[in-house]
Amino acid sequence: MAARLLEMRITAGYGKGQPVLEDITLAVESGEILALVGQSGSGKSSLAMALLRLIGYRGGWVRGSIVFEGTDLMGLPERRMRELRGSRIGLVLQSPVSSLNPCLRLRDQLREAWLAHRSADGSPWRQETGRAMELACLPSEETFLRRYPSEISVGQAQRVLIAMAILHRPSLLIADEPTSALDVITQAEILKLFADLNRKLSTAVLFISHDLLSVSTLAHRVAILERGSLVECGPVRQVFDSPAHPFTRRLIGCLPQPPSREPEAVPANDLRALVNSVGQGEPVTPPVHAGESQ
Amino acid sequence: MSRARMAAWIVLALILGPALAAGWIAPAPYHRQFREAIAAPPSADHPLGTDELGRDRLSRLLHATRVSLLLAPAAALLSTLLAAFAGASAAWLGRFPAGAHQVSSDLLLCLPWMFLLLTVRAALPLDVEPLASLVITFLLLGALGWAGPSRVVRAAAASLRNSDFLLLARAQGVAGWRLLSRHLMPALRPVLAAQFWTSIPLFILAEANLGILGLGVVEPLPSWGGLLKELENYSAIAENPFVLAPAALLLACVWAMHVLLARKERAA
Amino acid sequence: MRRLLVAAIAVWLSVPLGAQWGGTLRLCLRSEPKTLHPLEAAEESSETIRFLTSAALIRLNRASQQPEPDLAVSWKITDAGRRIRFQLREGVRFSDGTPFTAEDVAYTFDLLSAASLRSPVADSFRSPLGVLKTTVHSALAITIDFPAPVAGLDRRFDGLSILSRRSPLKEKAVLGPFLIAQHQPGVYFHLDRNPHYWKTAPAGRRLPYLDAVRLEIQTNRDTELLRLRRGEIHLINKIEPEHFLRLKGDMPKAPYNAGPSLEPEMLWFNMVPTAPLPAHKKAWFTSRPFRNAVSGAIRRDDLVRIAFQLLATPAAGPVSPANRFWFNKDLSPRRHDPAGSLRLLAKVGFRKQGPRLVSPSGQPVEFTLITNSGNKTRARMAALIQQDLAEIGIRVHLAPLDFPSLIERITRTFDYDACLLGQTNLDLDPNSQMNVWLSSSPNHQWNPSQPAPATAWEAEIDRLMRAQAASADPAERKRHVDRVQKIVFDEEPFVYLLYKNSLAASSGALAGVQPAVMFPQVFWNIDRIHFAKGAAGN
Repeated sequence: MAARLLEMRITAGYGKGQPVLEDITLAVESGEILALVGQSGSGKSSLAMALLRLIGYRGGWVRGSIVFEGTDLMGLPERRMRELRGSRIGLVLQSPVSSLNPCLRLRDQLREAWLAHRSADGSPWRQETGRAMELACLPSEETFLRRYPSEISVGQAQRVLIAMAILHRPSLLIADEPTSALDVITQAEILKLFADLNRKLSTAVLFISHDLLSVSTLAHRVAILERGSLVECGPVRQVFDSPAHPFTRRLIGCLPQPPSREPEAVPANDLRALVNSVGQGEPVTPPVHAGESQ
Repeated sequence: MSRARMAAWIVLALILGPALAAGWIAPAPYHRQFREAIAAPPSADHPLGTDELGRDRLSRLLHATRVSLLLAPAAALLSTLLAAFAGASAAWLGRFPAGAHQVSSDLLLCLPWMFLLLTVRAALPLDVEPLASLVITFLLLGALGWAGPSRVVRAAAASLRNSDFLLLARAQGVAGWRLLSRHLMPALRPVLAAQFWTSIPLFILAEANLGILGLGVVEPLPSWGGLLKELENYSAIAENPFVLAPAALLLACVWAMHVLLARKERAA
Repeated sequence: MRRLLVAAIAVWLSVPLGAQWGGTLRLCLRSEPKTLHPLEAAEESSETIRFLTSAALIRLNRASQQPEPDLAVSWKITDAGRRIRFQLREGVRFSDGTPFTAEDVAYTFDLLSAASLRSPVADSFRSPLGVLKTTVHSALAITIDFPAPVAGLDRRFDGLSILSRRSPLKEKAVLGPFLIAQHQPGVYFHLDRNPHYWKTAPAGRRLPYLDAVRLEIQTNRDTELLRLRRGEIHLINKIEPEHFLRLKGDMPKAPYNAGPSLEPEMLWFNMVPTAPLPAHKKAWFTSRPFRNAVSGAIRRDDLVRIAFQLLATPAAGPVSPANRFWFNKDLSPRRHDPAGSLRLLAKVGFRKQGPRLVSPSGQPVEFTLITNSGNKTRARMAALIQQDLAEIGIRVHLAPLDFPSLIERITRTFDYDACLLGQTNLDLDPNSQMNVWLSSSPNHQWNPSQPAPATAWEAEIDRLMRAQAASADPAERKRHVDRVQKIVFDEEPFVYLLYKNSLAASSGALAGVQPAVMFPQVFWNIDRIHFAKGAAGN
């Protein structure tokens, strides 16, 4: 039985209106890759922000509890929260171009990420940066590090973001649509990179995506988010083989080439009958992944 | 190094070098009046001619360059730094500093400047040295010129507040002063640079206009502003086009500094 | 009678035969007049309107600087300057047709004596010793009695416009060559010719030649000049040296240089005993050899040549050489003589130490010269003086100040060393300078409002100025005023530098223009100005 890394039950929103996430219950086990799939506007990114308690900077709020490694993050003072960000929980954002400060050289960005949690001096910084770059399949020579974000490709930029995210070896990596800005080949490479990192570093990954097909090759478990509610959560195979929720079925039905068999079409009256169950989070099932874990 | 940067270095060196050596290489003292050569056209003795009091234009230009080229950017730097600090903290620190900034910059922008500057002039002794008067003037310009630019900075900082890269920096655990100084400020640099560039010629001209109040450059010390004022008399330009030399130098300098200090992010 | 003859000849000479009649003369007023009432006029715009629309008993001929009969055909001053009797012109009518009589003159003096009226012309007829009295002898004869002798009495009538007692139009019924036909405040005045104006051309036709005068209100001098170049206006009363030269370049016939004006430029040292200055500076400034030395070290010729491009005249004293009667012809501008200056200074203990001049008490000699900022010629003069005085080892700091600050310093705080300024003289008579020369006056710039004269020579000036004011004998007055000029030349409380030239401009379309140094310099003979043959006046 793997240790529970993160367990949350939150409601989050912006301003005074309807919450964008309603009573979401979600858990991440150590070392697993959990894919959070939903359409645009379903609240996926808000969940990532809420989790890091950064949603306030976008004018939002979050309530509930977020227990990470046995500590409730909601009760932490901001100073402790800051210490956690980047060191225990890494974040990779959707657009590598806008996520890198255009005015800083790559080396300076990495260094800033390092200095947020460690002291500046000497060899650990060089070693760890080099290692992170290597893990992200990036060259770590000076000529590359001296470049500005505008001087590297989008794929490379995404790898730099990943390298920065794993610099402090966090136990959880949140990837918010990390591949949606990339071309197909680069997408595949980045997906593979996440799988590799997960394997090599045993870092748990919360992989947020709208693309069910691509995550199905990567994730151990998948959670489906629809209009702010978690409608389904379970091992990939289980979700694909026997989707419980009509929305999941529709998602799977839309896939160009389903990985297993053709899901049955959902009868219209079934759909209506199941509407009532929407909004109730599925019970969390233990991971059934095959990857190495403690 | 790009060709433009190389050219900019050469231009700056050509302007600053002789200016710094003005004391040695100027053909005449800047205040010496050649009474028999009033408003003379260029000649072997006076390569750029003489002004209305018979003073050698080249010598005055060299000395003026030294004075203005050191003081105006210094004042621009001062006001830009103040603007950066005021604008960024107003955009960053929430409602109260934002309100305070709004009020103080409004106040500064609509203040009866004349009155304030007159008070300053009255407080100075009458026989203040020309150079001291000039330094005080630029200091004043720098210390008081931040209000306008700080609003631009605040608007830019407010829009950066929601940018992905600052969000990511926060997600990396960066916060507080470091977030401001290492992540926000570099991103504001283009805005600040623009404010800096526009301030330099502005201050040079403002200094000349303050002469009305008895501040700024006092005869016989030359400054770019003072020399540029001569351009008001357009008939003089027709007689001796070298009167335009200070304007050309100002343009060349602003261009060169712009090329040299502009960062590569402009390529983005 | 002889006067009348001279005037008639002058009139005849100044009007060429076959002058063209008609047309509208255009010029600019520099501000909206503060009043249109002729007795209240106090500033240039109001006085311009007054001059163009009204007539006086006696006019001062601006060219000859002599009084001429106008509404009065003759006059006689008696009782040592206490009484004047006028014989008035016959057949003169106001612009509305009302006949002009001695009653109108008496009425004008009644208005003038009203205690509430405050204006230069009213003040010039007032006396602390009592009120004047008018006696009408007949329709065309009137006597005016003054409580005390009045110096230069006849000349004072130049600015006094005669108003009608009986006309229903009140002060709008005028005796001058023009009358106000239209007025749009802030924009323009349109003056039509007065059909009843008494003067006639040699052929007997009523003057003026012009049909109308249009005065546009234009505050910007550059625009005014531009409009002259475009032919939109015909005259400019006073132009700057810079504009004069510019005009000379492209319209060589337009600018007039009437020679030295009545307006000197001078510098003076602060001699106020209570001034917040160090004792050694006060000692220098109150020392006559020091002031003479400074004066002798200044190259007035260079000031004229470089700062004014020759459009000025070196000055000797407080009366302009343009003031023909009053100028002391024995005086000439102090010669540039730095060696003489140093000798003078050496006699009172100053000595050269290297390039610097050192005072008897050991301080290097330096002072700050304040002047008003924004005046280009004055700034140039200051810079020239700075270098001139450096030659004898005196270091001068220049401090241009805005005008209010400058006035504050020279009239209230007295916190200054020396000041460079100009003086305005509207009048030829030295009486008008009384307020400058009396040591008790607040305008006695170098040491104002003295309870008792600080020096013997100031006491002497006080005495002489009072004596000339009390005398009606021109020769005696002239002696006193010459003496004052000589004392000022010797003591140099004001170091007179130069007189600006009186510069005016007229477009080529006009004939009969005779610029003079007195106001209104270029159109004082407006009734005889006309368009040249073939020139359009519309």
